[in-house]
Amino acid sequence: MKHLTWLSTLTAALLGWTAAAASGSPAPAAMQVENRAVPAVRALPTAPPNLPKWLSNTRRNHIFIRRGRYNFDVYRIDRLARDLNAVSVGHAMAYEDLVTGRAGGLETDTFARIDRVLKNPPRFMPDEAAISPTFARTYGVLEQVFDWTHILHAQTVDVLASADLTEKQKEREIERLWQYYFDTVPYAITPLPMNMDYLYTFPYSRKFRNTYPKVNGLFWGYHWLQGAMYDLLYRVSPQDQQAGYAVIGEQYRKVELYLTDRYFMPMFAEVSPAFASRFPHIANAFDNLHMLHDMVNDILATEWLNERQKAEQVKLAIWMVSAEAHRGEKPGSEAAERLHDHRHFVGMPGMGIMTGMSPELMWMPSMGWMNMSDCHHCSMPLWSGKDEWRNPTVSADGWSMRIRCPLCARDMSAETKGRALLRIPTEDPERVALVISDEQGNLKTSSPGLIFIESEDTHIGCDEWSRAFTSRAAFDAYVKATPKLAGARALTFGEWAVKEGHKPDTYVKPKGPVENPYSSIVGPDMGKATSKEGAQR
Amino acid sequence: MIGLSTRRGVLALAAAAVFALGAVDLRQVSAHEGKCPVCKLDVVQDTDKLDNEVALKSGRKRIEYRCVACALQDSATYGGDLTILAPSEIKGKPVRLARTEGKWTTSPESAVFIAHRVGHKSCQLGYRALTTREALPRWLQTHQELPKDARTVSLAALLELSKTER
Repeated sequence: MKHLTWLSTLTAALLGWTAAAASGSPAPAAMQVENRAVPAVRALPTAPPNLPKWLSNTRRNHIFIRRGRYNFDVYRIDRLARDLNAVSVGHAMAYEDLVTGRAGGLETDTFARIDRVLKNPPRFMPDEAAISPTFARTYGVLEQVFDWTHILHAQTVDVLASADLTEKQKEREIERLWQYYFDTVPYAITPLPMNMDYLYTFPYSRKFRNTYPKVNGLFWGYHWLQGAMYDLLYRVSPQDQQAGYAVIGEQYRKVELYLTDRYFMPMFAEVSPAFASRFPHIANAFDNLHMLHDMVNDILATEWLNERQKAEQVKLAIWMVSAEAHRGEKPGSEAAERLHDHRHFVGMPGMGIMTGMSPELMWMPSMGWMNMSDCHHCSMPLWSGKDEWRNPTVSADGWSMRIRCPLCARDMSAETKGRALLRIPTEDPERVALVISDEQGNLKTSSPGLIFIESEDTHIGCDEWSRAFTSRAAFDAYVKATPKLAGARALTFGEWAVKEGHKPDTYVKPKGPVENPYSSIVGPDMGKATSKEGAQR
Repeated sequence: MIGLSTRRGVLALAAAAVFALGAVDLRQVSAHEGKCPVCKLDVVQDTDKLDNEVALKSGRKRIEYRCVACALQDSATYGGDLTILAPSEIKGKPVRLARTEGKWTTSPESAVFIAHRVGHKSCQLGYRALTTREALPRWLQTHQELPKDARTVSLAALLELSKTER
């Protein structure tokens, strides 16, 4: 493969550079950077020969959405639609200022302008190129790559927000949209899980985050919303989608936009694990797109790169996450060259490996180490394979976790500060009950007639003795088919909602290799700051 | 990877063994061992000899904190009545702090608090409820990381301190 050639060249050059550095000799010519202000230890990756022609395209190619009766159904949840419109404005304003010599005002004037838009979101989706004409002219292909995946974002959300399509129709249409995205133009982002540690340890990495923490916080807040909205909408009734966004939207506007202490961008599966496990290729593409945003931000913010180098590095960044660079490669495969390391977390094919983590153990700042294939409340294995849809989820405080049973979901939400959303599957794959917990832990749902079974015992069997049903008849049928639950009581939602389980006898807290895997790559000032304008989690 | 059925079997045996040994405390406690919402460090777990987990109860919520100062500081973000269960020097006998219509009380009434300025790494020891003032000497004797001249304060003083403590 073509990319192997340039990677070999890069590896050889890096080895040569390392040896040269050790001997005190100058870096090899191929790795030298023209700007004298470049810190001595930094070396940039070089572009492979024969990059595809489309990467050098300078024409403006506007691509429009695929036809569908669901288009613009996101406006059914009007505030979500408006918040997403504001995201586009925010992206474009920041990019335009970055490339027009106004980067010095990003944390003040630009932030204030964007924040005003976020607080007064536009009614319609803007054309980003009209807000950032210089950026679009300078980095035209990049703009088109962004646009193409943003269209996939927009249309998949429209499908999920549709009040007319059945859940099965929605799933089919999402797959069709993916194929259209993947096959139509060369701008598709790879659906493979990427090694995020690799993509976040270039010489320019973290430059934007460290230099412009408030605007970077906004970017990562947008990416949080663009991920979190999927589980809010997926298999949830139109009525519940509205109620759920009242919670998610408030979290986004009051907290997530203004966090400046994240170590890394929000990953899709951290906020929408149900959708990510069903459509891992789409979750990966969105994470890779967001990583491309970060790489571009860092490149543009790196003062020791000249304009030619920035253009070259942006082009290289696009290539690295493009579908074309990884044709023929498989999810889950490991490669010595980390660009082609496509391992994912066990139980979560929709998330690439991150800094200091292994497929077995993932780390989140507010949760610590965890195994993505186990319930976060009782440590028992989650539903998997064709039964994956049976996993409830709990969303609170900015994260979402997959859980094994309704009891685990209810009790975990009671142990988490603030409001929470519980997605509780029933016996009907098409009906997920959305339960909302208020600040006091009181639960409510708009799903009528829910019946629960909760014959509490060891959590080894909680997948059997704790379940939700759409009707008494469905409950009776289940109990009849499960003799060991004979005589179990049918609980109404009100009865179930006030119960409190024991501490699960099976719980084991996973222990990771270190307290915080990011401590090895972050400076002492990172992970501490918060934006004055926003609330701290 | 261990298969699902094998893992179930192993866990079933382990759970049975734990039950047989009588080591499971079935009082309601948090399942997942999370981070303190205030200082973001791990909530130190209870041991056989000493309780460490501080719990704030507000309605149906039961939120765990690393120390009583963290819980008190965060209590300002909750509306309405609430209670805090603060581990004391006696295993299984927490001090109960109650906020009812804005007024704080402790149970037992004799409860006092060590409020020695320590880093959050050991805040579960430096900020600790004691059932009585008389428990202080023994606490200091068994926790040599605290200075010998550490003093106790009232709940009112701890509340004031928690507003500025970080």
